[in-house]
Amino acid sequence: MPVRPPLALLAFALALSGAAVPFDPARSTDLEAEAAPAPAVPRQSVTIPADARGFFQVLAQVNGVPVRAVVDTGASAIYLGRAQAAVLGVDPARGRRSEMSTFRGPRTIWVVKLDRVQVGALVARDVDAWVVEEGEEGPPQALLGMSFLQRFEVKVGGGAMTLTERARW
Amino acid sequence: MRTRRATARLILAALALAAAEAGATSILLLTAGPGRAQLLVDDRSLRGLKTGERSPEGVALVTATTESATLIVDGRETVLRLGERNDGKVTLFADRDRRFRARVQVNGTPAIGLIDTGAEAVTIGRRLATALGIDYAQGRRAKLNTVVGTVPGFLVTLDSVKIGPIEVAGVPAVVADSDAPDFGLVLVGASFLGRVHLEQHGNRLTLIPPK
Repeated sequence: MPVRPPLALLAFALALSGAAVPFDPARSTDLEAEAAPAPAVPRQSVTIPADARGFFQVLAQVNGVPVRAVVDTGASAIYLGRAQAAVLGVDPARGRRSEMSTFRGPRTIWVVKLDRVQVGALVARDVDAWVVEEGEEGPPQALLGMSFLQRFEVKVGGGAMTLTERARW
Repeated sequence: MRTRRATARLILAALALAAAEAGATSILLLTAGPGRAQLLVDDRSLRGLKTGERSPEGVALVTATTESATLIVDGRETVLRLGERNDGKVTLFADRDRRFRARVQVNGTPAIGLIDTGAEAVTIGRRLATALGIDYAQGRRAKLNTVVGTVPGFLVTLDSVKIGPIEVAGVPAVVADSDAPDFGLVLVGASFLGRVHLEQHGNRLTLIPPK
């Protein structure tokens, strides 16, 4: 495979840092240690045990309203049914219309932002979410997809999932 | 020239050996090209090395091509291909849609997998299952639990599901009675994920084999 160094390097630097800082190969970067001296404040975390099916179910809060949710790395965003969105005060009409495919067939969705999503002590703001179209089948419970998970460090093992605040750097 | 290179190698090896005292160093080869490589060391430090250079962790670059790099790690010569790690783990980078896809081997046949905690079992559409040589008609009819509801299909046991060097044997799987678009992928669900460890840092997901 031919490698175009500047592009490849930039892409990886972006992937790793999540920020638009070009990577200079002549300089080495310590992603956590150098950029941030050891944080004095312990980072918040939440541990979610797997249920009998191996799913990670959790009580979340969207804009302060509690909602049962299940962690789904197979979903790019938080995914809500119509009724769930109504309870949470999320107005799909403020979103952008789009299409996607699910296990149970194609769906029309509305892409919105949730101001505040909380699990335990962990908070994410301005999180991408999808609300299924009126009259189409949505998820039986809210799905916590990658738009939320990406904001945290996630560890899975021994029948539990732990979400931890990311180091600030 | 040859002697000089050999001497350089020896010096590098000696330096690396000294650094190796600290313990096992984990390396992910991010990019490589003639005479240079970029590494992620201990899942934390991004290092760009040219041939003959040594990182603060004592990792030295011996040679590199566009496909692989030869390194000295903890005093040992180690050859890594692009994207490969030296510690038996697998690191995936999120796609534009934030999800993690992986090259997966199902009973030794390659396919593309999607890491999916929202499926109870490894899930494969009918058409892909046929392509992978899975004789699902022998399987018991079952309903797969997914986070968006149940999906009818056939329950099978896969002899082997392998992602990079991580192999899990005897994996319960469902061949879904559907070819919905997502099913061009092997959905790597809880029946596989429950037998490994996962660590996600932002766009990076590392699969860790069971001890």
